[in-house]
Amino acid sequence: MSICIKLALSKKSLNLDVDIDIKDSLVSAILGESGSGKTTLLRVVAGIERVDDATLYVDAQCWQDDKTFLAPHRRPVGYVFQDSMLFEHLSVGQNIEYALKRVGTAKRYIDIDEMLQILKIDHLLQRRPHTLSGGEKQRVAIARALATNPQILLLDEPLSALNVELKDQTLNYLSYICNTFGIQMLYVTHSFREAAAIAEQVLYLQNGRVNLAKDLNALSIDLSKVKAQEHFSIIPTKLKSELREHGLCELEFDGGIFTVDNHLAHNRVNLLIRAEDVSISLEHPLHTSVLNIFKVVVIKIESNGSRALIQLQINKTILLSSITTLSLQRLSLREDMEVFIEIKALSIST
Amino acid sequence: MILDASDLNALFITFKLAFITTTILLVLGTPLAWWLSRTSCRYKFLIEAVVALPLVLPPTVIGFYLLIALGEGGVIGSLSQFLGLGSLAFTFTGLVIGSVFYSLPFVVQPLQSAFVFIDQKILDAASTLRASKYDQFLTIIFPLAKPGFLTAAILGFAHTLGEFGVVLMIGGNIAGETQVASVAIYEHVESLQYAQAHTLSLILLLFSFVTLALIYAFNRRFMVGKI
Repeated sequence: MSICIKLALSKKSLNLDVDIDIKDSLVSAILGESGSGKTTLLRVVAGIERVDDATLYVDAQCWQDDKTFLAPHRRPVGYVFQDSMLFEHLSVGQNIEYALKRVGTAKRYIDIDEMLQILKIDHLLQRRPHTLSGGEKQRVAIARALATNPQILLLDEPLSALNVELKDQTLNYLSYICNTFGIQMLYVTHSFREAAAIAEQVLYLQNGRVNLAKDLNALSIDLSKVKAQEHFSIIPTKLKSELREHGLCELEFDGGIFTVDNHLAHNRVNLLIRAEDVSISLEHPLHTSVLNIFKVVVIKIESNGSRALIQLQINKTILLSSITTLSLQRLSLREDMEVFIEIKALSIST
Repeated sequence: MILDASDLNALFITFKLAFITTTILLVLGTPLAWWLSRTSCRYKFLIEAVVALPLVLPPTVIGFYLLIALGEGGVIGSLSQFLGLGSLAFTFTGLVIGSVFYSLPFVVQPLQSAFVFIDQKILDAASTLRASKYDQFLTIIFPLAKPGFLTAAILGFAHTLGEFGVVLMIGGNIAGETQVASVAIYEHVESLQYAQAHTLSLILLLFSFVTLALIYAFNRRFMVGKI
């Protein structure tokens, strides 16, 4: 499956010049600040926004060029809007049926009952949309989009109306669904955290241009400089082995092996490591409960008031650690020093 | 109750006229109202003003211009002559044309206000769910704008029933062909037949009251049901 998008657009506050070819990836995130044009990009793929100067090929099939414009209702996409956009005059079940009955039986490959169970909405079918909670609405919207049995699922900030707990839960559902049904997703978000949690590759939209961020680790370090409230590093890993008897698993990355909770045991996982959870010692710690200990090199120190943000490198991977400036002084940390870091297994998530 | 054959005929013509006019207006008014609710055309206000004109113009003014238009050499008259239909002034068809103009705002305005409240994104959602434009109209726009359609139909119908000036100008008062109830009432009063005038008036009064009461009851139920 490949999606090839070329478009040039200049509106009042938006200049887009995009030329991307998305392939070999089940989930691609389109990351960008609000107003960067990422929603427009998604709407052009769905055909609900018509940009004259655009070319769009999906699997070598032309959806739009100078001569062709495939009507939106003929494009095999599912679209999940930011604010669910359920039909208020229909029940939940009828909303899903609306999509399902417009798709020929030959094109159906998703088991609807199974999908409703995965999304935990099979008990809501009789309800009216306005009686649902925000999380339920969004899950119904996902189910309705999937009921079209799409080739591509387009998601426009689908979790922005949800609280953190529901976000994680719904992200898990989405990951599970795309793996179960092998469906390709384009996931638009302004949150790098969400992008890293779900996507295999991230397209970073900046100043109207899209860059394919091949290296999520490097992007996480770059973005950490920009945004000050939260610091974390993303580390792409592959599953090495499961330690079922301990409820743990081993994930391999460029620089070593992480031992983490077994619920993270997927083939490819982007681990999220918060800077606060990484502690530094000068010698290899002895007699510690911490499972993840690595020898690293200090490559950069930035201090800001009582806190210091330290970049640490192991092979090509960079991690962030946030410590107090008091500790920084006590350890006399300098750049190019070799130190050890400790990361608790249970503090690592996606 | 005193209702003679010509009174019954007048009532029949009145309801027939109202029914045909409402049907035509729903067919023509729906796309017009949809266009008005969506367009960003800078001359939209002109079209809106034209649609609203019958609300403020004396019916005799509309009737007068229509009479000229329908007559020989008039815009509509030339066309009907060309099509071999003869002059439409003082015919039932002429009445229908007049009523369509006269009741236009009563159908277009409720539809337009109902359409304005339909979020474009809901229709975008429908098109990503494989619904064509026509499909969207039947399955999304119509159900969501149903109270607007009901109001438009009933107001258009009731307003056509009450037509007087326009009818008198372009339809004349030909019993059994163009004589409607409101004109018949006027005639009864002119010839001091108060009993017959009473009967016809009461029928129109009750009908209008019941239909309006039904609209408000329905719209209230709809609003309550939505919350």
